[in-house]
Amino acid sequence: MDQQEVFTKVVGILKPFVKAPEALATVSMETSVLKDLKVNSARLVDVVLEIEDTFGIAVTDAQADSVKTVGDAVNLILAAKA
Amino acid sequence: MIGDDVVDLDDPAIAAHHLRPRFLDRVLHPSERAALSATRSPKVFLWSLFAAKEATYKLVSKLGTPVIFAHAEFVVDDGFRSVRHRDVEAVLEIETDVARGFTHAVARTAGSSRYQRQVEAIPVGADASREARQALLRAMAAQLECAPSELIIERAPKPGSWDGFGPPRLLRHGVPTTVDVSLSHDGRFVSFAAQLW
Ligand SMILES: CC(C)(COP(=O)(O)OP(=O)(O)OC[C@H]1O[C@@H](n2cnc3c(N)ncnc32)[C@H](O)[C@@H]1OP(=O)(O)O)[C@@H](O)C(=O)NCCC(=O)NCCS
Repeated sequence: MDQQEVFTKVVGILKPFVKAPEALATVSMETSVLKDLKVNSARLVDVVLEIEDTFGIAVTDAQADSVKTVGDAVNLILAAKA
Repeated sequence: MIGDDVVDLDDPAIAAHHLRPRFLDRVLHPSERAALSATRSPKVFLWSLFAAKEATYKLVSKLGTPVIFAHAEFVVDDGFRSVRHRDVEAVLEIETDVARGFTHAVARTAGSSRYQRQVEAIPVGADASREARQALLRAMAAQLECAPSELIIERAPKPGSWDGFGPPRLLRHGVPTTVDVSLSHDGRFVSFAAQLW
């Protein structure tokens, strides 16, 4: 799976949890999950569980805590799948 | 130090989380899971636990040591009176209003007794972050017997934090006050807590 494929899937996972849907129009690797997309803390747990299911990986709390941007999530997944 | 968190209980997005084992495993300590399975209102119970953990995270993150937000490591006691995170124990007070549809947790460090808390409903489409600040400013102006215009709430830059800013602080005439504050917003509600002294 390449970066673009993972990116598209991550954006698809985030979509239902985003409170600022207009920010999705310009979403990039640099977009902040909490600040720009306004995913709140409870929804973030849902996102982590969806990522685990979709990509068949385990994400620790420390890894989840380190994810600030969409790109951080994509890189975390790519590293776990490598 | 003080932290608070409000949860809109009528948000359809959280209607079934109390039935999702993986979510429960991720956010709850085994003792909390056992207590949840024995309660008659598991949804309200879960979100009160969640609010307690978030409120305590906000408090602990102000104590200086960097903290990872691992929900299950914030352990709420059986009677919702305290929350423990490693060697920090916070005093907990939960207000749940099922009729209005919210649960609000306030976590404080022991020894601080004078504090104020509030939950307000906001109009649909309002800027929740702004509404929470306005509610806090009005209450603090009354408390400090000054005009709201003398006060501001700021979040100083904090590189590495989730949005690049630290916790909110109350300033009077541009100078930080000794009042420690916390803000939260979720769905139809905004809230604050302020530790006065
Ligand atoms: C701080 C945090 C707990 C906020 O939780 P939330 O439920 O999304 O949002 P709330 O409305 O309850 O609280 C937001 C308010 O908390 C305050 N706040 C932000 N960072 C804070 C901190 N480190 N300490 C105390 N208060 C903080 C702000 O005033 C903010 O409101 P504002 O942005 O309008 O000014 C959360 O976003 C966070 O830092 N998360 C860390 C990463 C994480 O959640 N990891 C879990 C991975 S599964």
